[in-house]
Amino acid sequence: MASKFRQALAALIENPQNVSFETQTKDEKTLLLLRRHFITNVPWMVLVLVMLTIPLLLTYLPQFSGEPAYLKLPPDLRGLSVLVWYLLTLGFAFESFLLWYFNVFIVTNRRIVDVDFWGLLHKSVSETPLANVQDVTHEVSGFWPVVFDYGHIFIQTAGEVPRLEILNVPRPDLVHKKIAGLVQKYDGRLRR
Amino acid sequence: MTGIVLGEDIAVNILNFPLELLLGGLLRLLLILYLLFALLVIRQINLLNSILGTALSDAFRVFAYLHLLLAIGALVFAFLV
Repeated sequence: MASKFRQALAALIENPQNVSFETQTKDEKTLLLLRRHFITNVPWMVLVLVMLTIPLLLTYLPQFSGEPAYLKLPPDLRGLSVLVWYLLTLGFAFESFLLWYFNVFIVTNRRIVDVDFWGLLHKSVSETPLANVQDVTHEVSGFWPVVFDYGHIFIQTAGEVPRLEILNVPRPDLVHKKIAGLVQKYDGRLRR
Repeated sequence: MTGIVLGEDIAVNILNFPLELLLGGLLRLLLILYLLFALLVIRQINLLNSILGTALSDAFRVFAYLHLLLAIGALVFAFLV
């Protein structure tokens, strides 16, 4: 159960189990599932922690710096404002997590599918057959990417989508090799 | 002359306006908007689960409905206090 949960939350999964996508065909096998490195979630997680502590700070810090307007509110209104604040924090955390979880890149034995999802109201799904892949490059740039070994993968294609980008994936060199290997392996079969 | 008196009246009225009432109304409005957001999240999760099915799909759905219940509960609470 724990390993299943861990696998579901991983950023780089080879031969993922229990994963299916909308346009998957019967004979299509998912070989690689990628999402942003988990470390890229740290900024919103820190923000959530700060948001969680603000009501506590407003309650306990005034002992040292005089009573703020917040504490002059009637208790029921103060309780309501804290409730609204924590709800907004929960909503923000949930939405940020969903953004990370569902922005994925899927490599199958036939094609590459890029699912992009920004905010509540926008999603885009683009795909290219492995046979259309012309060039794969990867890039690791910056302090944190070097420390935590994550970076971008760029896939040049001959199709309608000229370039697919996978941003901030873990172990980009390994992913590069895997995708290039899969293209070599399946490309020949697809062309035949 | 009259204009200045009127202006003074407005200023006095603004200063006497119960800010607690304003804040209470604002918080209730925020909770109504949050309820809409919670409904949108359910729609979004159903859509996302149809695009990508994973081991956590059901857990997300359950969490989204709990989240909606929480938003409804908070709104009810806001109108009771």
